[in-house]
Parts: sequence; C-alpha cells; structure tokens
Amino acid sequence: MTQEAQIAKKMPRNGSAQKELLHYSSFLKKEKIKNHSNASSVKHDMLVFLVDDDAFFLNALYYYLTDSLSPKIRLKTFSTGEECLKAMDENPDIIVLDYMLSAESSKAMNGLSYLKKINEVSPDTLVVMLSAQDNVDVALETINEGAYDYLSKSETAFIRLKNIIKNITETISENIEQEKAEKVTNRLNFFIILLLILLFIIGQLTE
Amino acid sequence: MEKSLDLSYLQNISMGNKEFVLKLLQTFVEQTSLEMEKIHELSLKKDWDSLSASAHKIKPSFHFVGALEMEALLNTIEIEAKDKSKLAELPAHISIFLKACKEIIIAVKKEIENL
Repeated sequence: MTQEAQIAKKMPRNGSAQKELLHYSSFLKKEKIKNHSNASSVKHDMLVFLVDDDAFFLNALYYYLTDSLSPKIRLKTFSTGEECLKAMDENPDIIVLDYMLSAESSKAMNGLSYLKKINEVSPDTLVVMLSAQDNVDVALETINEGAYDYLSKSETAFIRLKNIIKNITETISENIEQEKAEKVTNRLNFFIILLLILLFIIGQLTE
Repeated sequence: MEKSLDLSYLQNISMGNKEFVLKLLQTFVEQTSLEMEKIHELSLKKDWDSLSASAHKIKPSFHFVGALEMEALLNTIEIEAKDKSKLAELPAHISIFLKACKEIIIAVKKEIENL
C-alpha cells in the first residue's frame, strides 16, 4: 500500500466528493509536512531544488525567489531531472519540478516519472509540480502520485510558489519548535515525578 | 502580427531590480534564439512531436515579455504539431512565428540597451 493510500485510509470522511477531495488534499499536505518535520528536525537551513529545462523560466524563478525568500532558504537550479536525481543525497526539503521536462537524452523521463523516482528515493521531500498547462486532470494525477502541490505557469505562479515555500518552511519551523517544547515538557514532568517520589521516600523514612 | 513588448509583468516580479530584468532579458535572447533555430530544424525534419515539445517549452517566456500574440501562436503550433490534425497549416504558422520571433529578439535587445 502506498503512503498516500495509507494516509487516505486514516483520513476522516466528511460529505460530498468535491469536499472530500479538497479535504484529502489538505490532509495529505499536513501529513507530508508532519513527516518532513520529523525527518528534518536536525537541520536548520532549508534547501530548495528548482528543476526546469526552460532556462528563462528557471532563471526568472531563481532570481525572484532569491529576492523574496529568507536567506536561510538555499536555492539550487537544475535543467534536467537526471541532474536533480544525482543531487538527491543533499537532502532537499522542497523540489519545484516541471511537469513536462523534455527528453534531452534517451534515459530522460518526464516530470511525472521523476516525481515517482523522487518519492522512492526521498519520500519526505515535498514536491511542487509546475506545468505550462492549467489542466485539472494533470493536477489530480500529480497529487495522486504524491506531489505536495500543483501550479500552472500563469501570471500568479511566482507569488503562489513563494507563498507555498514560505508556508512550508514556517509550518516546519513551528513543528520543530513544538517538538522541542514537547521534549522540554516531558523532561520537566519526569523530574517533577522523580521529585515527588523522592519526597515520598524521605517522608516514609522520617516517619 | 503585433510584435510589441510589454515588460510590466517582468518589472513587477523583479520588484524594481534592474539587474534582475537585464539578466532575464539576456536569457530570453539566448534561449529564444536557440529554440528558434531548433524549431526551424525540426520543421524541416518534420519531427512534429519534438517541435510540439519545443513550442511548449518556450511558450511561458513570451508571456513574461508581454508578447501575448506570440504565446497564443506557439500554443496553436504546439497543438497542431502534437495532434497532427492540421499539418497543412502548420508550416505557415511556423513561418509566421520565425519571422515575428526575429523581430521580438531585436526589440528585446533594444530594451537591454536602454536599461
């Protein structure tokens, strides 16, 4: 059973098919970020890979995100999916992947095949798919294959992508902080219980 | 075909950063010149699938420089080459595209000089 199918099984149901789809998508996103936060709790800076064979769009995206995101978010660009896969040992937190990567070599695959490969190699990496076509079927296909989100290369793509990355990084930071706070609370509770036991023992001994 | 440019979207996303606009316009000239050449070669070879992919690939960059008619023409070329339904009209559309593209590149180069 795939990770998505397992999550879908856990998901609470709430009415119409459309509502369920939206709920499913939002539920998946929360679960993916939660899994990612657990996996990256030791890291401080975020690493984002941008993958597109259109040099103009790739450069535009790189310059825009460099200017508008925190310097703690590092960006790396790749013009082919093969290059991106080779760099997966750098553990990227987010990958922005073009849906229609052209086949420059006989071994090249399209964006969807790379998405599957990335999910196999690094299931906690969040993948945002980009496409020049605004197609609901393509969007659903990519989400079903495990993409975190889907964006068409429209006028609002840059701002929406910036917001997606900001939201992911903020949520991951919050999750990590929450995890740290929980650890501190657990330790504190442990010492309080220990102290109560000691006081009880001292009380018993003095009687 | 109208070959006018509108760089307002590019200036908007660059948030007033001239260097950003300059780098992107330079990339546009380099990338579009290469793809133009590629589309021409593919049309001679009648490799319609690769030509469709090439048209799809450079379509968004014309949107960025406000050449919306070119974006629409590339969309037509992409569909015609992919579906192979109107192959008789395709060479004429490619010819219009190649001619207009040269003029767009000249216009972009002028914008680069004026920056």
